[in-house]
Amino acid sequence: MTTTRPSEGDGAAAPGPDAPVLRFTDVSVRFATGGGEVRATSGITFDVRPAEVVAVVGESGSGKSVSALSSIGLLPRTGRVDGSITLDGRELLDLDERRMRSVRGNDVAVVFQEPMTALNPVFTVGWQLAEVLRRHLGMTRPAARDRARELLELVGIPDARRALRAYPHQLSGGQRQRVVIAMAVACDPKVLIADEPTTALDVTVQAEILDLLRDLRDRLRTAIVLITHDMGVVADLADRVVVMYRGEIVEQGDVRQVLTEPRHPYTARLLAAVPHLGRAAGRAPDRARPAAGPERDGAQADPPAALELRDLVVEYGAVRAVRGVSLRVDPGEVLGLVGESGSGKSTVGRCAAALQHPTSGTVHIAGRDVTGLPARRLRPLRRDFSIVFQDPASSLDPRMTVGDSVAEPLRMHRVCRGRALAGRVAELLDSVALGAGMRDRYPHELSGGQRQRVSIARALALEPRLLIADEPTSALDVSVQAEILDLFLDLQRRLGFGCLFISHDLAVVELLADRVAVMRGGEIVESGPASRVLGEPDHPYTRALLAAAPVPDPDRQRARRLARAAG
Amino acid sequence: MGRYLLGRLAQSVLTLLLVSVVVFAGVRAMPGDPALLLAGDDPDPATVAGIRERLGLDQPLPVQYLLWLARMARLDFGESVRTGLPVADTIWTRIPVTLELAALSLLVAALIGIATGVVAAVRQGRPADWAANSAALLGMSIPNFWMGLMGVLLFAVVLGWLPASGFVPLTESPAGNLASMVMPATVLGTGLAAVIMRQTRSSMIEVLGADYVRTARAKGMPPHRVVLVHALRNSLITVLTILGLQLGGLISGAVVTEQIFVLPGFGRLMVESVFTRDFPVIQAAVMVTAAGYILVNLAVDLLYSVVDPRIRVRSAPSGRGAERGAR
Repeated sequence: MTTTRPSEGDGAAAPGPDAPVLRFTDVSVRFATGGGEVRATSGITFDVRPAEVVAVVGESGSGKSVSALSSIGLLPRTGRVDGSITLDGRELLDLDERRMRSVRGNDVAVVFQEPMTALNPVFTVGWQLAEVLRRHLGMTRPAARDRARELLELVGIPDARRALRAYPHQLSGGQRQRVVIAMAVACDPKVLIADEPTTALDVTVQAEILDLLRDLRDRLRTAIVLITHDMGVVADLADRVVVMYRGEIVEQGDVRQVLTEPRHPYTARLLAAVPHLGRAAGRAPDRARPAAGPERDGAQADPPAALELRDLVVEYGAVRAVRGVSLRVDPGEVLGLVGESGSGKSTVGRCAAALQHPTSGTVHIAGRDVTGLPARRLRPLRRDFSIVFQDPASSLDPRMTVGDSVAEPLRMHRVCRGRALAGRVAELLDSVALGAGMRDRYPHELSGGQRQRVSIARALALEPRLLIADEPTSALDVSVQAEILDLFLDLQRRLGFGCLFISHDLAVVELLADRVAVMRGGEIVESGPASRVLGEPDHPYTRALLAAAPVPDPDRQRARRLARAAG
Repeated sequence: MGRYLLGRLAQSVLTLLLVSVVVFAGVRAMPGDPALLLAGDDPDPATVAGIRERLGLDQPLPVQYLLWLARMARLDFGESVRTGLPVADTIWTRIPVTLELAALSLLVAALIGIATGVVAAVRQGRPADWAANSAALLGMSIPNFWMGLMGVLLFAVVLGWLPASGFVPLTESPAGNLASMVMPATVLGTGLAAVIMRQTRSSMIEVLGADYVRTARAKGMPPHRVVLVHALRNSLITVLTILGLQLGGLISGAVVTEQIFVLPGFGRLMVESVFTRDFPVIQAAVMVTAAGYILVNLAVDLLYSVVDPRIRVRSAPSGRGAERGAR
């Protein structure tokens, strides 16, 4: 990474108690690529004061991570930073690599998004913590070990002594993120850059980690740069907000002002796209449920359920992932299956899609028993159901064009060929709002949202009676998620397929589902009409889930947080 | 761990049994009657019949196989047709030479291969990477025998630094032993080093892009520590697999190398016995080689768990475990 700056020394305020600790002035980042230079950000100017949380929000590619990471030289080698970034009045962009290393992890520390992979798998937690202490504070081995234990206690890890000897894979995701945070605050940094620190975590764990960050800010007076796309997290933790769009800051200000009275249209659009618990209430009644799917096999008196699971049990060796789940999806109905990671919801989805044999229990799809059917006999039945996965990047064959991907199920089932096939593919692409020009593109040429549209078109190619959607929007930006959800709702109403919609996001489920089932530890703890379960939950776990999901309104979120702490 | 080890041992025994069937069948399918060979130039039918009976060759094949297997299990490999000496003794005198050659070659290969692989990965796409890749391609393309001959020409004939051939036992003179081994080990090791370099490079590049390497950098660790401590150990996991699998190449390479440098090793023994149809020796040599191969790969599997704590046996099998196992 190289840096150039036109002028120097100006604007570095005399360090006072409330003077900005980290100051970005007209920072721009460019990357050298094969096709010339690409500007990632430009004109980034904002301050961070001690004990202040500044949230940098924006969608993927907006340059929010790049801006923050440029301060400590963690950009790829091709990056080039102009402008000025000062830490306590000291210019960071002028530091050579050796001096920069003594800033990293010491004055400015980073917490990354993925706790699962942020820790080195082959070293113990204690070793990784002690490494920072020994490097920056010159501690002896025993002193570092004692301090590491204290740090683990500080971040709320139970039985810190044992955790020191543990390897990362022996800890849960939340505990790993606590370790990463412990490592970041080890040298009492002036600034903590938290890059999507809770995105990969369950809501209840997220709430705990946000509490921990707030607590550390209060206790250590660390300034926090919080990079996130989640407006709920912003409302929960931030004092000020910087909104980025296409590499530039479009708005910045106090969190209350930005979230409740956004000045820039982009901010307003971003906020409107966020699914908001309690906002979608009342959607269900206006949905007259279609009596049956599209008239495919004539009117029947009592159409069979699109999906019916009875006493489903799935065991992996000695582990019971699913313990006796029964559920029913009526034709034309959307059942939201919610739960946190490890609750068994995806396993239920895989059984429902006949991708996995249950240990016991039965699976009926459109009235037919598919439990334990061999693949050969299952194949013709696969017309009736299909699945949309979370990550469209990996669920489409990278060597198949969009058109071929969508046509494949039609070819496999010999539904049509030749001109009829081409027509049907065009029709399907059109139904997911992709132009016919997309047909010859390959998945890597599409955006995440476009890829997911292709997955949906492909899943609907055979007009299934049941669609299983496993977190279909969790990998997408909020504004894209909003589009995909709209599209999905529209298609579902038009085509009338039954849908098992699996998600960890209660607000998304509220938007779509007629009924909701809440899973925990392999069991359904509560189910019922969406408005009832999400509005007046019976089960304490559902209540805890609802309370933990942050809402993008600082005042409401504060009230919720206090209520949660009290209850 | 105990259960895992038992399972792996059972698997190894099964593999060895399969090898024994193949070896036995192969040797019996070869043209030539061992009894006739043993009986000498002018065999009289009674003598041949006597030898047949003594060797058990008059029995049905399955019985012969089982008898042979039973003797193998007691490490009784019979006697050499050519020399009349017990095969076991011959093998025991030859094995140390080849083991030393293999160990030194592996050392050379690992040192060169891992070092250049790391450099190439760190300098990916730059001249050092390019040079290392070209050298590796060269190392893989040059046949051992040619490299051996060139080595002899340069170091023994022109410079006179090292002996051209022959073997000095370690017990006789450690310095002489090393001198006689340097060239063979280097020749045999460089070909293998090329493979290791490629593997180290690709797994290192993958690991250098990992989140935990970024974490190490964000912690302010100096580059050498990031690469050699945080990244290298993670990339060694795949390199280890290659080391185990390359042992086969090492053994066949040893056959050629021992010929060139006239080392009285296992490889030479195999070549000699094939030429003289010394069946008991061939059988025993192949069985010992197979056993060695299996043992080394078992050791590699156990080493994984030393290098990677995630592979250390867990109480409950989980989906992730299965995933890793499949790698």
